[in-house]
Amino acid sequence: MRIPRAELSFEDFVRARSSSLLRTALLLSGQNRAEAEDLLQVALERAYRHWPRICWSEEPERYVRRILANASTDRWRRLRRRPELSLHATNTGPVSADHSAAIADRDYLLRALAALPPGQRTVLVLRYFDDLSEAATAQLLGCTPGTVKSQAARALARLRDLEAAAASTAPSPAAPEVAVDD
Amino acid sequence: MTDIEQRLRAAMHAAMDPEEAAAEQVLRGVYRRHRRHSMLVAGLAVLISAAVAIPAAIATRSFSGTPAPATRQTPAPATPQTPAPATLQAPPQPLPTTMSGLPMATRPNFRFLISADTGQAAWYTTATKQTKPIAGLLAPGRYQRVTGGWATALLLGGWTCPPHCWSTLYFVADGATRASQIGVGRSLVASDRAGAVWLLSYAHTITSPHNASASVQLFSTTGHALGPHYRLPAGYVLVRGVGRYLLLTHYPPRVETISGPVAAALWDPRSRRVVDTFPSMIDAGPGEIAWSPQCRGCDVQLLNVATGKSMATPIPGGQPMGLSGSFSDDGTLLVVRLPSQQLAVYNISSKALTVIPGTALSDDDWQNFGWMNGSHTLVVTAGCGGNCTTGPDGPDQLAYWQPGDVQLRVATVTDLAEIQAVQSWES
Repeated sequence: MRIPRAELSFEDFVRARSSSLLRTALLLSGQNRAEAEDLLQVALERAYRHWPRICWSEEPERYVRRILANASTDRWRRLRRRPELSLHATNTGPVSADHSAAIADRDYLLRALAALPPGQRTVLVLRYFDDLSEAATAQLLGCTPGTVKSQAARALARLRDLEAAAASTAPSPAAPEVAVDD
Repeated sequence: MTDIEQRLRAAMHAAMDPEEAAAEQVLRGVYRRHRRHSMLVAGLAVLISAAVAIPAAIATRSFSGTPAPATRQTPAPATPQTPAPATLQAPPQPLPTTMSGLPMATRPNFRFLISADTGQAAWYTTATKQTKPIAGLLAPGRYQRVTGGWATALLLGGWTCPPHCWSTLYFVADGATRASQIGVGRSLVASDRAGAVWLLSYAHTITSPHNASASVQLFSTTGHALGPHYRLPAGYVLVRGVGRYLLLTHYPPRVETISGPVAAALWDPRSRRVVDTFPSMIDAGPGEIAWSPQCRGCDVQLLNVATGKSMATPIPGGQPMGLSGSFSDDGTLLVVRLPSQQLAVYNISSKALTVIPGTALSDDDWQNFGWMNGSHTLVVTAGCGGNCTTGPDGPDQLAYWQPGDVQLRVATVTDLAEIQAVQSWES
């Protein structure tokens, strides 16, 4: 979405685009809402400092998304001892036939996304959630389209591997796990 | 599009599309964060008391005005000048949440330039905890360090006002209680010498700086023109004067320069030629430019514009996101935040790099740094970000370091006015 430049104040921009930016931040932060809101505020504060320049650009949101992606990468890079993310919280593999299984499959994919390295996750979010082209993603991340392509390919391959591993270890419907807790 | 791409896209949209942000709450959070950085106090000016006088051993470096070859000599291949192994080692992980060092025995006589939303500006002195108003400023402005003081543009039309909205431009000398009006235009930026600033303006017909040519002219800090007008290349703005050249950057900045490396060009106003470019500039002093080559493992380079020579420093460069750093007013000291998050000071005269222990903080804690009044006293301020465990604002820390010090001198700030000043310190 483009906002007419002449009317663009920082407040108008935030009111118009904060929801969209928050969704991206949620995906970048592994769906941790508190972290996503923090990330969004960090990115917007940085943008606010440069707003006199950003507001004159043709697409201010592109700048802010760039800041958001960088802030996310910085944050993950510094969280050295972040806990491993479990992909088996619901004991449900990614493949199933009914509606609830589709929801579980979606949930599984998002958790797998959150478990990816931050660079790969950022590429997938920009490509498939923000619907940016490879060229636009590369421009936004300050790398080459080839890097975006290879990062996306690796990330998708990793997701497929995780799915395959989960499918092979998922409990069989015929032999459900027995609860050992009372 | 493959199956997994389709499913991933559907999953992300199904999960995220219902999510909404509370814009007003976001705005409040952004402004709260920003206040901590720069809104209440747009700049910090400090005079060093006798107790913390600058060691005489740090000689100021004189910059000759001798014209020199403009072209930078090809920098030597990044030759790792290996510093003492301990100096560049990463700090322990996870990073601490507070700065560490020696306690301040006595509170130094720091002098902060404070600007209220009403436009009133004042000097706040930490030793006496008193404020001294600065006369002659009529509207809120953003302050920018120039040699010998602070410059501000009183943007009466607001930030979104087009370039042709002229602002009144002022200079506040360090410690002065009256601002001097330099002229009208868009902004003032530092020159290569004390007592002079560059004034940048646009023609009245310009409504957007895209592809517009700005005009610059050197003024004395008392408001007298010192040289002719120069018209900048279209789409560029002036960063500062470096030697007899002007350092320019794109306007608006390219995407990669917003939060990453700054691309800049060194321009000769007399020949109207770009004589050098810097894909990743860290900062510029009155006669030198610190920049990082865009190659992994390369060291930060320093260009002396008078000689045209570039030399490698022991500062690890080649960072994809660039390094943040700041020159002292005289250009002899460069403070840089290393990739390890530690602050390090490079002395250009002695070529020594000093990593300051206790300066690396976790990402949740904000930290600003800069040279006091352009002196050789490095001031670092820190506080917890949005994750304070001790209260909504948590403790703030004020620290300083001077050449020769082994550790920071650190104090916890409790006085309300001082907290505001410290929180608003902007490097």
